[in-house]
Amino acid sequence: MSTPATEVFNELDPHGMGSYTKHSHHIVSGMTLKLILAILLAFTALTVGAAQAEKWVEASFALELPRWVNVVVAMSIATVKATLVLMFFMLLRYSNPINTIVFLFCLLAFGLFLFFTLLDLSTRGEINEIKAKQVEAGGIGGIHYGWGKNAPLVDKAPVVYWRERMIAEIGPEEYERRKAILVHGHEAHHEPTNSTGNLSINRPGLTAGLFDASAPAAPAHGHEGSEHAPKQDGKTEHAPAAH
Amino acid sequence: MTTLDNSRAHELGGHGHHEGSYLTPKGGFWATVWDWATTVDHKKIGVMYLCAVLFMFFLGGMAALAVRTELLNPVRTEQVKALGADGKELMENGKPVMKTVITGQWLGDMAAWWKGQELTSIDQGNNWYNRAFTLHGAIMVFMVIIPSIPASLGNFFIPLMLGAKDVAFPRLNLLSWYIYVTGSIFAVCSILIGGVDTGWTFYTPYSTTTDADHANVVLMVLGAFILGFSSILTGLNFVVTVHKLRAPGMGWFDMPLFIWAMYSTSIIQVLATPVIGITLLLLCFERIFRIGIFDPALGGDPVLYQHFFWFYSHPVVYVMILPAFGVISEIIPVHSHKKIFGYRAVAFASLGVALVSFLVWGHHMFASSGELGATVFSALTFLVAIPTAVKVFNWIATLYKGSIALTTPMLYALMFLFLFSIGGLTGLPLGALATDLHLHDSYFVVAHFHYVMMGGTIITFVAGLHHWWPKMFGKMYNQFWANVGAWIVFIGFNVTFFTQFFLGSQGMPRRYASYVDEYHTLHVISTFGSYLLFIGFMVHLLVFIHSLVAGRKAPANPWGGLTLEWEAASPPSEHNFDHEPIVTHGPYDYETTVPPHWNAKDYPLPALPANHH
Amino acid sequence: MTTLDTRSNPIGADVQSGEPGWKRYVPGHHWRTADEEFDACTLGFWLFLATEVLLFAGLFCGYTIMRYKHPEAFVNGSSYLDWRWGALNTVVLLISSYTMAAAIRAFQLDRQKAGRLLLAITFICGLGFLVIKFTFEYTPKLSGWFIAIDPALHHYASLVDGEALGGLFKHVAGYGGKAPGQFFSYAFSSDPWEPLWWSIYYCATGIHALHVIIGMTLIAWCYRRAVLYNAYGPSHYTMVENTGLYWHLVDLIWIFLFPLLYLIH
Repeated sequence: MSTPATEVFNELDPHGMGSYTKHSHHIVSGMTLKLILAILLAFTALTVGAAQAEKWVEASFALELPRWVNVVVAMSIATVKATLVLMFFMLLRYSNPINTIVFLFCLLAFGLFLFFTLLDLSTRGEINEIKAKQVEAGGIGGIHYGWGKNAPLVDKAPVVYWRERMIAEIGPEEYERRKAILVHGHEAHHEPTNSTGNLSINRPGLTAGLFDASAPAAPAHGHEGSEHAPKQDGKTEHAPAAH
Repeated sequence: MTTLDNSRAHELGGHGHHEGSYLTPKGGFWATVWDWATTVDHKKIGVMYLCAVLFMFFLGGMAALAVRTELLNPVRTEQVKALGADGKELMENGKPVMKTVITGQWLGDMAAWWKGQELTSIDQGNNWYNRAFTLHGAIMVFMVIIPSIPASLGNFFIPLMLGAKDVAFPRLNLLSWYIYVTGSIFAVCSILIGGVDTGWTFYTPYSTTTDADHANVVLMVLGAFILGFSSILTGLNFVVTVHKLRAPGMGWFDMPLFIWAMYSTSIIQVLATPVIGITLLLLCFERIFRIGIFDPALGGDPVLYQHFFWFYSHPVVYVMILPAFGVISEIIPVHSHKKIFGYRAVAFASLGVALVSFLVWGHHMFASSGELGATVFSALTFLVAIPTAVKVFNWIATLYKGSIALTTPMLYALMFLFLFSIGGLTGLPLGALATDLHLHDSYFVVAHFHYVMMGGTIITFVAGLHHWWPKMFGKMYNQFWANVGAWIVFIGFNVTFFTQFFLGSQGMPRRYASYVDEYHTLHVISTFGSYLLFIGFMVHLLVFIHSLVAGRKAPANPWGGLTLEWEAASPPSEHNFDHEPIVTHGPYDYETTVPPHWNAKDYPLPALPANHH
Repeated sequence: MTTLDTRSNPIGADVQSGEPGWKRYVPGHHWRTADEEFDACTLGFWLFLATEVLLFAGLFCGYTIMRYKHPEAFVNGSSYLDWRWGALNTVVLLISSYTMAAAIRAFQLDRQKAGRLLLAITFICGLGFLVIKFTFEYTPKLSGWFIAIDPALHHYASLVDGEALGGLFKHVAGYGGKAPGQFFSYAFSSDPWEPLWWSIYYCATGIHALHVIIGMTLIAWCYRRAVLYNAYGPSHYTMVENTGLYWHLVDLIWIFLFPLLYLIH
């Protein structure tokens, strides 16, 4: 025994946890809750605004911001919001510190999970090129698209398969017309790129020309209004830029 | 150890009156069944877990024997001389006509007989072998070893050792048992409709493409998913119990080391198991909807599955072994009547193992991960050796100059030290990147993890069962026959698995239904070892049945233990203790304390200055 | 049941006595005080929340790896989502988080009516979140069927080729088919890996939506107990507190999902 337990011993609180127990019944003031809500709403506006501002900067100054800017800004704001929710709505600020420790350990486990998985999967392709070059959209064995036994078995990328099917069905002009409408309907739709999807590392010869075979000649023509149209020319150079 | 006197106990809401044991039946047969099925008593739930785990252990053991029997005479094709209708050799151009026959499909023939079909190709025989070892692996890992010590012995003894009346959330505890049973039923259903041939790891693309027209894999994966919830709830319950329900006077460093080990285990269960939940859920989506996250054809990555899987399944290796460490930390001081050497070192080593467990999962993937990842994981893997070695050295130091009683639990604990050391040391060549690439996926790996999982966890589970059996059921068992069983298990185990180190280092790959003739002798030895192992466990089963039927009544403290569970009656009453205990001495203070229920004159304390170092 | 039954809390069994349920509450037999039980329940619930976070950790990790491998597919895929719906849902969930916290405060102060009202508002916000998610996001993207009041519909007026339920739903040719994996059949996409984006999107938001539904069920249960038994008050409000924690966690996950899914460019 490290301490003589019987001397100053409170049967109702044998481990001296009383101070925490009192904390756990903390009543947050109504004003605090309202204030936190207001801050959270403001930060929601801020994160949307930041994303719009990034787009505006890129469009106005013909810049390409590094991809991490978008992620870092958005995640920083989200972290601030999450911290506020945790501290004031979930009462971590007032409750037994063990609850905070539990949550921090959980985040530590999350961090380790993300870090080591990313460490391995993000370096695998660079070091061992043999492994990286074999991936092709659609695979080699074919994919059953849809449900049930009658689903067609197709040995190309789903995107290509459905595009060709649609063009065969409605003809290239109608396809272009619909695409213009559908794509224009989106919020600032991005132009197609020749991304090979393989770790964004330049791998000539893999799926280059994937779209040349089936895509109508000038996919850009429906997008004069799009603010990203000028990027068309340089798209292949852009693809591997970020990392 | 003292107890509160009656008046104070009443003030605290304690139960001052004596009660019957928790095993006393409540009314007739059906009333008793209903009582057990709806009980929230941690002791009954522990016993129910014990029964369920032992049943699954039997199933998994049968699968293991089937695998070993198949390997006695492996699946192979042979060229034999064809015989004509008259029984003479057929000749063509002066040479005998040869035909191909498939031999050794013992398992395939059994399965074909069961299904009323003929075996038509060698693939079918191999296929049934694959199903048998998957069955063995999945049952033993998910349904036996993970819940074995925590859910049965842990449930029974954590509240008792803490001096509490129950775990923190008793109804959640019962729910966790029902979830365990539900998950097991899913898995058994999957087996009954044909089994799974993916290996217990469910690697993609095996698990997303095999048996495409059956629900076996989905059922088995869902079974494992459901079992995960059971594991989470048990772990969560134990963490809160340890935090909040320690008896008055029991600080963190007055807890028995079993509690420390279970606490570390529970932390891992809570932090790692949810990841397997989402992994298996995504695997089900992948299989049913082909969402593509693990499928390169759609842009996904099968190695991502392996990361997901091992992020859980490596920590869970310590969910399996940490409770075993806890049991050994109890048995060795009690049966050598000596204070544990380096209490805090052992306690912190448990937490250390829990922490390190989250850093080393990549060493299961040396052949599939990238070079940088493999190097980093290999380096981190050696960290595991530190806390485990601390523990082993402390146990050995505890034995030194102790008055060792070679009871069955102690015998098993000594066997554990031997087997676990072999298992641990053979882990080093597997953790080193260069040697692993030779040994990867060979029988060396099989032998290594059986020495750790079985020689570590199962042996310790049996040891703990023998240690606490008198407390759980109030009956002593026949020590002689239990020791005989222990020796048979020990010899059988080594014969089975030590040979596999040779097989593996010579290049025998794991999970193969067939092999070249050079491996035959070692495989035969290994198979007969497994039969010996089976006989050993049957001896234990008979000893336990005999004990329940005709064992003599156990005293409250047969081994002279000092932890709180020996304070309670054997078997304990419904509320565990007559009064809430107050802890006044450490769990291993053998030199200064007369064990509860022992007579001071039978127990001369050695704590005189002359003997005290 | 056994003598060890921990349901020593007979709230509801004795409504006639006139005492509110929270005053009649007795802690479980193995606890020394109600406060210790409350503290333990909170700790237990935080551990449970940790498991929930780690469940989503798998999804976030999958998201990270896939976005790392196919950044263009994610940028493209995200552009199909309308950030305004995402932002609206964020606001809805934040408000519901506030009302949940305020509901707990109301019960702590024994303001029963306010507490019930706030619980009801929280529930309605959760419902609103799901309606927006399913009606304005999932259904059109999967099937091409828009609800007639969807403001996005006017972009595609010339492609409307079908109606259902008396004009309540309108079908836009070619819009649907943005489904995960093998169900993907959208013909106008721009990146070979777009089906993967949809897999991640539906897994993440779908599992989140499932948690919204579970949270709403818990809230409804709390509301029922509050109405029938006055079950929560200053000295006992464990269940409503833990339901609140769960609901905030749902909000917390969405706070991260929203920018990760809607605001990529």
